[in-house]
This record gives sequence, C-alpha cells and structure tokens, in this order.
Amino acid sequence: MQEYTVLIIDDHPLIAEVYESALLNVSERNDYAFNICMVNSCDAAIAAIMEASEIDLVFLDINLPKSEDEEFLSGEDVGIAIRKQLPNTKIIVSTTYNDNYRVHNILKSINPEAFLIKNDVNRKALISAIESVFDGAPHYSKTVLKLLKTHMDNDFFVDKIDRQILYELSIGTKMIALPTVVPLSKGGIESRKRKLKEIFNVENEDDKDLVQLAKDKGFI
Amino acid sequence: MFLNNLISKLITSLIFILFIFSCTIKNDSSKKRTTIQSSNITAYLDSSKIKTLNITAKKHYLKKAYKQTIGILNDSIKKYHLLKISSQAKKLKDLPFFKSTNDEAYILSKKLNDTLSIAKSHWNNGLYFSKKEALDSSFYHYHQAHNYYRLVKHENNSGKMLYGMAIIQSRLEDFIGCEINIVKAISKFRKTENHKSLFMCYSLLGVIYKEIGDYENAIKNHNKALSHLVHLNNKKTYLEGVYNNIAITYQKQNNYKVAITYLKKALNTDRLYDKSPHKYATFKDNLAYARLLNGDTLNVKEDLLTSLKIRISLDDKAGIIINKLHLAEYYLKMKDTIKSLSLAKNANILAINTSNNRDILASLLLLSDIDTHNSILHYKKYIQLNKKLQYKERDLRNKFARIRFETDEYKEDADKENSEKILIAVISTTIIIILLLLYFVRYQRGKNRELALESEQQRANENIYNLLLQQQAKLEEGRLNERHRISEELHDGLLGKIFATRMRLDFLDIEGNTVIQDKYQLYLSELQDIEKEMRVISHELKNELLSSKTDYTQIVQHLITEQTTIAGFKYVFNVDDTVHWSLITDLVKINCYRVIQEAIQNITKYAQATTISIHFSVNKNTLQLLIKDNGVGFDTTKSKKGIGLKNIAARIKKLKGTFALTSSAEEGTLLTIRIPINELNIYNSTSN
Repeated sequence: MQEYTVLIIDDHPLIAEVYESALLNVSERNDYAFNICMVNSCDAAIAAIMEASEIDLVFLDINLPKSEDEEFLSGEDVGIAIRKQLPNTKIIVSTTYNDNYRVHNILKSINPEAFLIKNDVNRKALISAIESVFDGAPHYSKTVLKLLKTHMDNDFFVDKIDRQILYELSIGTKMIALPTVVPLSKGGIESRKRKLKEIFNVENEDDKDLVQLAKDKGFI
Repeated sequence: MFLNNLISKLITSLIFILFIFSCTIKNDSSKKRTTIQSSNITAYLDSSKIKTLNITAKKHYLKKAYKQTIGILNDSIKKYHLLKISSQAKKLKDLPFFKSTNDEAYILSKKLNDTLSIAKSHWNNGLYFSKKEALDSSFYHYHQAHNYYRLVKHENNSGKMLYGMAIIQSRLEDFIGCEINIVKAISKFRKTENHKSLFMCYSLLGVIYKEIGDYENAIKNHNKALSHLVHLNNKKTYLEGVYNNIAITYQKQNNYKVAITYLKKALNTDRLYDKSPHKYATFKDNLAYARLLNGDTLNVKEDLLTSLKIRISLDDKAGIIINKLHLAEYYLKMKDTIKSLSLAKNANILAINTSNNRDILASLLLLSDIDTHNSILHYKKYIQLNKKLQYKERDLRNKFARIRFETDEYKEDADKENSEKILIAVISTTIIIILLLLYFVRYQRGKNRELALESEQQRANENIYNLLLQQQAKLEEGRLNERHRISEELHDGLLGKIFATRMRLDFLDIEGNTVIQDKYQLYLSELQDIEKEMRVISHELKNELLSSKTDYTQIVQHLITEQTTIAGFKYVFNVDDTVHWSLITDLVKINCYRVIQEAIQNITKYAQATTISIHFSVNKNTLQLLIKDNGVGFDTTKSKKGIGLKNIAARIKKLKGTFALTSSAEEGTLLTIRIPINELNIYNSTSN
C-alpha cells in the first residue's frame, strides 16, 4: 500500500469534500492510502506548504481569498509558490474560470499536471484525472484542450503584453488608463494595438472588432 | 413695443411736416411780396440812371425807389437796396440823401452782422466826409472800412481804403503816413493785379515825393504809374495827368524846358478840350506859367486868359484862383503892379471865400511880394495862417495816429480773438480725438469682453459636456460595479456551490434500477448545464466592451429620451456603423448635442409632430446629422429665423459645417447638418 500526502486548497468546504470523496474512491480502487489536509485560503495554503516536508498532490482552486499581506492574490500565485517550494509536487488545478486568457496564463505559470474546469468535470472525469496524474500522464479538461488546439491552429505570434492589452480592452479599460496597468507608454500601446489589428486583419478603427476577434481566436 | 414706437415716430414726423408746410405757405406770401417790391425798386433805380433824364427826374425816381425800399421787411434785401440807392445818390451828388440812406444801410448791416456791407457803408461815409472836407471823420471811416475788408480778406477794397486814407494824409501833408499807406495799398493791388489802382497809387506817390522835394523818386514813380497805364483799356485822360504831374515836378526843379515839353505833350492829346475842358484849362495854365517862369512871355497872357475863361465857365473855383495868381505873377513880371495887385487881392478873397488855405497862403505870399507897402502885414498874415494850418495839420495827424493806434488795439484784440479761436479749435479737436479714442478703446474692450465671454461660453459648454461624460461614467461605473458584483456572486459563490452539490451527488452511489440510474445521470448533466449557463451569464455580465454601447451615443440617447418623453412624441434614433465617436472631437460632439437639444425644443414648440428621427452617419470625413419631424412645417423663406435656428446656424458655422433646412406641411421639416471631422485627432482622443 502506497501512502500519499494530499493538500486540498479550496475555499468551498463542500468542494473540498468532493475531492475527498474522489480520493477515497481512488484509494479503494488502487490500494493507495491518502493523508489528506484541507485549507481554504491563500494564507493557510502557504503555511501548509511551508510546514510540509513533502506533498505529493495538491488540489488547487484559483479563485481564493487573497492573503492578508496581499502577496498572494489568487490560487495562481499559490501554485507558483508550490512549484518553487516543492518542485516534485503534482498539481491539479481545478477552477471555474474558463476564459482563454486566464487559462493560458495558468498553463504558462503553473503548468499543472491536471487542469480541470469545474464545469466540465463529473465524477468519472475527476477520478480519471487523479488516476492519470498518479500514473504520470497529464489530464486536461476539454475546454483547455480546445484552447490548446486553437492555439496550435493559429500561428499568430501574440506575446504576454499583447494578451494583456487585449484582455484589458475586453474588460473596458480606457486607453488613458492602459499605461497604468500595462508596462508600456501610450505610444507603445498604440503601436501594439495597430500591429494586433494587422495580425487579426481588422480594418475597423474601433477596438470592438479587435476584441471580438481575439476572443474568437481564443486569446482572451 | 416696436409698433408703438413706429406709430409715435410717424405722428411726430407728420406734425413736423405740417408745421414746415404752414411755415412755407406763410413765407411764400411774404416772399412773393418782397420779390415784387424788389423788382419795382430795381426798375426805379434803373430809371434814375437813364442818361437822357434831367437831374430832378433822376432824383425823383431814386426817391421812389427809396420809398419802396422802406416797406421791405426782409432786412438783408432792404440793406442791399439801400446801398444801391445810396451809391446812386452819390452819383447824383445828392449828398444828404447819400448820407441818410447809407446810415440806414449801416444800421441794418450791423444788425445782420454783414461785414462786407458794413465795410461798404464805412467806405461811403469816408467818401461823404471827404466831400464835406471833414477829413478826420473821412479818415476814420476809411480806416474802419479798411479793417472790415481786411477781416474778410477783400484785398482789393482794403487797398482802395488805404489809398483813400493816403489821399487824405497827402492833403494834410502827412507825407510819411501817406507813403506808408500807399506802399501797403500797392502790395495789395499787386496781389489782385489792379493796374488802375496801382497807377493811381504810383501817381500819388510821385506827387508826395514832389512835395517832399525828392524829385528823382517823384519822376521814377510817375514813370511806374505810366507802366501800369499800359494795361488799362480805358485810359481816359490819365496819361495827360501824369505828363502834367511830371511837368510840375520838373518845374519845381526849375527845369522849365523839360516841364514845357511834357505839358506840350499833354496838351497835344487828341480832342483834349472835348474830353476834359477842365484839364485842358489846367494844362494850358500850367504851360503858360512854366513858360513865364522860363522867361518866355510870348502869348503867355493870352494863354492864361483863355484858361481863366474856360475855368470861369466851368466854375472851377480852385482853378480860377490859381489862374488869377499866375496872371498876377505875369503882371508883376511885366511891372504892371496895379493889375497884379488887384488880381492877387481878388484871388486872396476868392481863396478865403472857398476857405482854400493853400491858395490863401499862395495869394498872401504873392501879395507880400507885390504890395510893397503892406508887405510885412501880408507876410505876418501868411505866417499866422501857416502856423494855424500847421497846428491844425499836426492836430489831425495826431488824430490819425490815434485812429491807427485804436485800430492796432483792435487788431490786437482780433489777434487775441483769433488765437483764442485757434486755442478753442485745438482744444475741441483734442477733446474730440480723446473722446473718439475713448470710444474706440471702450468698443475694443467690449469686443474683447465679448470674445472672452464667447470663449468662456465654449469652455462652459465643454465643461458641461465633461460633466455629462463624468455623470455618465459614474452611472456606468455604478452599473458596472453592480454587474461585476452579481457576476462574481454567480461565478464564485453559486457556481461553486452548485458544482460541489453536483459532484457530491455524483459520488453518492445511488442504488436502483436502470430507469432511476438514467434519471439520476440526466439530472446530474442537467445541473452541469445550469452551471454552464450561469457561467455564461456571469461572463456576459462582466464583459464590458461587447455588452455596453459607447458613451456619446448613450448620452444623446438619454437626451432624446428625456426630451421626447416630456414633449410626448416618439423617436427613432440611430447611429450608423460608420460613426466612431472616438475619432470625433469633443467640440463637435458637444455642439451636436446642443443642436439636437435646440432642434427638439423647436419641434416641441412649433411643429406639432408625433415622431422625430435623428440619424448620425459619417461619409468621407464628414459627420452628417439628420433631424426630421413629421410636423406641420413652416415657410423657410418667409419666416424670420428664430433664436433656435440662429443658434444652430451659429454653432455649425463655428465648426465650419453646413446647414440645410427643408420644410413642407406634408413632409414636415428636415434639418441636415454636415460637419467636417478632423482626421488628425484620431490618436489624440481617448477611446470611449
């Protein structure tokens, strides 16, 4: 019987219970034993990570209350910390977010062993995700897979800042305010915007079409 | 208000016209009478000038003319006729009448303040007093006349007055004063090129130089007089006069031969006796006397007697005396003392009778030569009279000096007055200029203020727009915040809970038949779908750009909704896809906003419309705004532009746009506005 330490990070105790049920199910089927620890905030998660000598598996929710010192704004930051602190730990990101921009960012920053979009998940998918992680194979929900596939279809070169600009535009940030959130001058932003319009083949001067197209192409 | 003004103005002007009309009627009748009288007077005057009439008849007509003149009411016409009558009276030698009419004319001229007529009256008075031998009065009047003529810059007449004064001065042997006046007169006549007067002036100068004993200058001046005579058409007997004068000058120099030749020249004149028997006699007498002095007695007596005879026939008293004196001298030379004495005595008596002082003196001097017994007595008389005359002359000269002095004072006054006038003119001009400047400054300042107000207004407009934007932004922000909150709530709260519930259900190992199992799975996937839907809703709530419209459109929409709701009509509002508000300057936007506001107000007030439509579109860098209503319309040509339309026009003009209005009762009113939009502003404006 193999014993694993599992850390469940989720602010919903009900969801944490679900993961627990799933782990129980897996242990019954595979002769594993789980040592489960549950935390519901960034601060608690960080404390648990610091204390533990070794954690085999982490269930990570992205939408978490931020830490009190505001160093960790979301589960994404916690994930990065885990990767840094415990590089061997396997991470299952489980989140309700399904927008391309966030998903892409998480893939880039954490590169989790399994990426579950909660809405896509059911009992079967959850169990298979856990099992495949322990088998050493990555598991992605279908939304994530779709995104990866679109990216492979489009050979656009869109970097992180471009994405950020697109994202900010999509949430209605004004041009004036952009230089305060994007590390670029106004002129730089304008030129990037022009380039993006060229890339996406948008003739319209308005940003609406650009944002719509970027969304369709899965960049945000 | 305006109508009232107009009516009152009309009434006043009507009254004014009526008044003038009545005045002219009155004036007309009196004028008519005056005209008739004037023509009568002129006729009488003309009659009095008819040469064939005898002197009494002429005087009679002149008196008739005077009687008519008295009746004239118009002072200036009356004065005009009086002066004419006066002149004619002088020609008819009716001195009292001349004087009285002239005095009347003078009073009227003074009343009318007619400088020329005043001067003319003084001139007449000068003539009158000179005839009356009242030389001081004459001099005074000439002087006055001279001043008045000078005042109105009548050079010729003022020169003539100077000449008149000079004549008087020469008669009183005030030669220096005489010379001064003549020189002044000459300078005036030179300006006017009055050759006749110049001739007379030089002649007089020649005479006075002769009297002073400066014979050379006397001859020179006489020659100058001759040079001016060339220019005269009507030479009369002037030439002979000059010859006579020259001859006398030479005679004084004891150059009898030359004197004789000149006198002969003078006497040789064609028909001299017919033209002027007076002169003929004088020349004859002078020639005979010159010859006598030259020691040639041949025919002298006969010539002197012929001359005397002519003079007696002419009743030329002064001539007779001189002639008799000359005869007396002749007889003295012929040693016929008795005849000489009687002639000299006779001349003396005649001279005393005519109070001709010069001749009295000459006769006394001769008598003292002839009457050896009473020589001392005569000489004493001569000295006495001479002294008396000298005193009198000195007295008169002093008088002239006083008159001149007074005139100088008067002149000074006039100068002072003149300088005062100049000062007043300068001051008033300066004041006017200052006032103009002040006005200009005020005007400019007003204009500047207007401009400042205008720019302030514009700034205020922009501020209002910005406030509107801010207001809108705040509303939007609140709305967004609310949406975000709901979105988060759905996403993070409910979604998680439903997910957790679904998963927990999934992990419940439901026992049962396949039907229940199937249903169980169905419900689970149903729940999953609900999750999906919820997430979509959450996303849409969060998604700003795609869900909300642009700000300006919203602002305008808000405006239209508000206004049309108040007015109670329907509206259609659309913004073409071609319009990108971010590319259009705030100035254009705020003015479009105002135009729409103004237009809706107009429609509300006048159009009785039930629907309006407002449409924005862009074509080739031109923003087009159409505002249409289905109201009653109005006549765009007749109706004077209301404030609203004017405001709209002004706004569009400022933006260099165009503005067209078509209206008809069937189709309502369509307002078409085109405003150029500046491409350069694309990257300067914020995207909103």
